[in-house]
Amino acid sequence: MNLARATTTGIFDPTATARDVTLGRQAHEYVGAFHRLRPTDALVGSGSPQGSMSSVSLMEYVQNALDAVAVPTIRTRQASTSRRADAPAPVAHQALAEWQGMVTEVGETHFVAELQGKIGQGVSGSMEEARIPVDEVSPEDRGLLRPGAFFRLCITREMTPHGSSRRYTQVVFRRMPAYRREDLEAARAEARELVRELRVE
Amino acid sequence: MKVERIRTSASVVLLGAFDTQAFLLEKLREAALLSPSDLATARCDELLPGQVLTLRFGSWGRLNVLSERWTFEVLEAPFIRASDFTLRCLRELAPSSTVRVMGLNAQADFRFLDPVERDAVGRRLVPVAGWGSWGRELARLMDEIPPDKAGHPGAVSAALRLPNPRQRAHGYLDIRWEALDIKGPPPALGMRLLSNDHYTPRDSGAPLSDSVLTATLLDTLGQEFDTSIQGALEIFEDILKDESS
Repeated sequence: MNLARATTTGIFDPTATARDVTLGRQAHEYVGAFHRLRPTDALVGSGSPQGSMSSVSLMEYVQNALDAVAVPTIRTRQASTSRRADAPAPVAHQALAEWQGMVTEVGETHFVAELQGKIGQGVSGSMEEARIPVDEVSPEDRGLLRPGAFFRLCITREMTPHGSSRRYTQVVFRRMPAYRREDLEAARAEARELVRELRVE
Repeated sequence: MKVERIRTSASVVLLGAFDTQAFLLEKLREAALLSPSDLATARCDELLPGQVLTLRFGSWGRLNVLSERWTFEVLEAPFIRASDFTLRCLRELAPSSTVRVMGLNAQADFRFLDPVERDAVGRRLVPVAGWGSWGRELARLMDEIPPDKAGHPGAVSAALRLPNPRQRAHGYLDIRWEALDIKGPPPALGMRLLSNDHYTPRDSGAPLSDSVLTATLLDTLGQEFDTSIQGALEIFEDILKDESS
């Protein structure tokens, strides 16, 4: 196949946008070409182009290429209102500040949490305690609100392409990774060992 | 300096072996990996069944899985969702996945309100003095053609690499700067900063089996994601701070 815009070093020429893809190619050709790339060269992030003003990520490139040839095997599991990946974003989100929070106490209308600053000028590295209204937690996250739970408190600025903007605060509870079975087994074994060594007179 | 950050994102990129069928929307729902509303509005495109899978979660998250590559990008804070989601997916839905290389990446786009200031960043980061007679000619044209006029020459990208960042025995940290055209009313002038924190434990010479390597990289993801992304965002801010000082 003619894939002249894929360089020999394995990095797609970022100037090759979906418009440059010749229509009518078989989708598997693009996927095959993608698989032949040296993977470590392709690791520079999603949406992280390799040096261009209008570049696309490798995945977007593949996806755009597949979109362009109208592959009949695309299966959409659920219709939604989400926009196409290559459409301009309707709004931009600027993270102004972010704290890691740990719930220490839960009341009827408020909860208390220890906050550790993560992102933002004057915020990063700071430690403080805060009393936060339960209303700030979305109804579907309230089941996660309990002592010991971790969340992120974010202040974000949302901007429309027309220049208007608004700030909003968001409390997002973390859906933490589960412990691995081997970690739990190791912890149990250590606990058994400690118990075995304990002497109660 | 008249510049504003208009977009920030973070992503986890893994290379190895992945079963795209393990991450279908039904499976994410069964495991309750995200909030019910995120899962209800998610869109799953299975491009070439078994080979290319794309999942979009509202406007904040996007997952792309190929048999050799996993990418989860978070487009709105909190970015820690990229780490939490990736770890839960790989440990709970697809524990047989293999991860050999990992990239933790951040990206921020900035809009300049003054074209001269944007031009100054390019001049500072990529001086033309070392580019011989062609560079001197470019410098002449840069002074001759105002930065807000078509045909103004200058830098479009620059990158620096730090091997073995944060005392690691492997990998590197790349920071890349790019000029960026922004859609919108003039002055539509921007720049993009990207980081790629690249983890390759096998390069340290340790003979690691795939299973040990996978466990090591996933543990590292859980421990270092915040540090890596925060560090990158601080570097970005510092690059701008240098300009204003």
